[in-house]
Amino acid sequence: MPKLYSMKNNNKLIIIAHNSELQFVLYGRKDIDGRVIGTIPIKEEYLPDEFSGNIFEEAKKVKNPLLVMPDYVAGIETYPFATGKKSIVSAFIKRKLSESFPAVLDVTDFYNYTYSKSGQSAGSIYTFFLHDPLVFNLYNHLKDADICPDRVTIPAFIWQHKIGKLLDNASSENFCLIHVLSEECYLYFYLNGDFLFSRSIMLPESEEAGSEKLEILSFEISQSLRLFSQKAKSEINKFFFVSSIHINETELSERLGKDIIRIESDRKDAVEAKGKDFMPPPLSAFTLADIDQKAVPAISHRLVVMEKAWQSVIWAGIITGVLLIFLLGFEAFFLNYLSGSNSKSVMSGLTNDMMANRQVIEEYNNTIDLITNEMQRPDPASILGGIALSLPETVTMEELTFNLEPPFQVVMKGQVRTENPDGIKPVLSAMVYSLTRNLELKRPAVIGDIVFDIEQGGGDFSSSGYKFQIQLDLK
Amino acid sequence: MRNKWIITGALWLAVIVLTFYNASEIKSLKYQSEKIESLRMDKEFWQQNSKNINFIITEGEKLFFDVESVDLGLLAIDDRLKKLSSKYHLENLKIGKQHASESDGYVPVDLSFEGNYEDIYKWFKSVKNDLPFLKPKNLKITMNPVSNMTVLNGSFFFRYRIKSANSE
Repeated sequence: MPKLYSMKNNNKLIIIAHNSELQFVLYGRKDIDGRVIGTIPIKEEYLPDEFSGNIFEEAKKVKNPLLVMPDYVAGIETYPFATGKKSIVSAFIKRKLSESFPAVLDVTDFYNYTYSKSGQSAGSIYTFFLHDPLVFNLYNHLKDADICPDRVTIPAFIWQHKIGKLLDNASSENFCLIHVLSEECYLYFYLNGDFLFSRSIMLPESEEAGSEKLEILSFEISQSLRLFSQKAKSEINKFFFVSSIHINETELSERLGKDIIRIESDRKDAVEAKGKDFMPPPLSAFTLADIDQKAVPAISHRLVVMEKAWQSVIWAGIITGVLLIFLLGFEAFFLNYLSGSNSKSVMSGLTNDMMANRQVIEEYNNTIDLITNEMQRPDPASILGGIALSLPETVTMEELTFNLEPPFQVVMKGQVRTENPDGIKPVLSAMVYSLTRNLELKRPAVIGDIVFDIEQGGGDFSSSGYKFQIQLDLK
Repeated sequence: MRNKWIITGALWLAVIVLTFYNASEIKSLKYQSEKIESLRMDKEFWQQNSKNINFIITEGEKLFFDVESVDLGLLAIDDRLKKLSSKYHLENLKIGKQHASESDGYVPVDLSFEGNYEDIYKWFKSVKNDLPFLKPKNLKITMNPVSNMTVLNGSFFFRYRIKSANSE
């Protein structure tokens, strides 16, 4: 059980397709050289459950396996393109791929690209994609068997990454890699650091046929260089050489007329120590860690790409959500504590104290309002007294009208008795002065406020006197 | 992947629920705090002014005539006005109730009588002290200089409070 647990957490799975077989290679920190846990023949059709039934339990426990396919399943295209904006580039590539491969519907789900632009030159999209139905068929079977590949790559991409690490400025280099094995040779060609095409060449088997091998190699390389020139309109400027057998690369260099840089295989020691190597020939120069490097160019299903793009958003959402729940939960607990303890007991005490008093205070407030209003209302007794005090002897009052609702007013009607009209003014002046003094008026009364009633005998000296009227505004 | 979306959604749903819960708790606490403050201020005010409050309330009560019904109140006022009128030698006292809604707590009353100016002045002084719930709105006082007789026609109103016999 502990062994299984450690497998689930640390082991990685590489599924290698080679020579009509799927090879399941498991490796991990404790087993860096890896081991083959089983193989499954590659067929176009499988019986129901035939494929998934043959998948090994150990393999099912490993998440995000890597699928390594032969170079020929991948296609390469470079398109000039002005912008590197993801949504526009993706739509463009999908359209281009569906035009180029109308019969292969899945091609638009399996692509990847890099956008490059240097200086004033127009940008370009280096697109690499899967177009062979074999790979889609395999992918779907693996997916149904619950070991859906996370990435799909090819040996040429692994070499691209490996050589890119050796060169300071790989993106400006056109280079060729010659990988020589005992019975075959692989030639990889790269334009501006990006894989362009590869070839595999069969070599004579015998150890003694060294010069013959060199002959074939130099011929095939020369042919391929012409093909490269035609395709890329450019020349190779660096040659790398990897070999698991003894071969004279100096002679090869002389035959080609090019300098060749030899690269030592990382797995040489491991292979020698273990005897027979399980790794298929195109991958024989790599360690499992080389193959499984995240930085190696690879192609994922668009859904997987989208999931990866959203992964960071989801994690940010989960972490932020957890933090907020923690903070808000603490706040809720604190608020609950506050509302449950102090305030309720304090309020119930105060409420009990004040419930009876509160009604009295409300009554008090209403009473204050009422008393204030009543105090503003003029007192009729005071007005009557004030008027009586203000009347000169020669003035007789006939009618008084009080308006004791706002606006407060008094209208006085009366007669002034005098022997001649000249005597009216001093009498009425004295009256308005006294009215101002004895009543609470809004403004002092003046003689101009008095109106004489001419028609009703106001100017008839033979009558009892001059009739007048005055309106007073009270405070 | 789908599980992670579900977890994220559930977490954020919980965040929203907690936010609303906390907001309602804060609102409730704020309301409680304001109520406590209001009660505290009431209590403080009460402690400092209880004597004045009782005095004002007693004075305010004088502005209302406690009656069992409006008509009974009018009868009582009629009786008290007649006594006051005879005290000040006022004649031809007439009291009439105007048609008005009684729901406002006051009833408009028309009043008229005759007498001399000085007596009317005294009558108003007595009404102010003895019947503080009876208030004049409009007055028309006509004086005859020959007979020295003054006629008063006025609109008054009286404030009342219905108090049943049981409640007293």
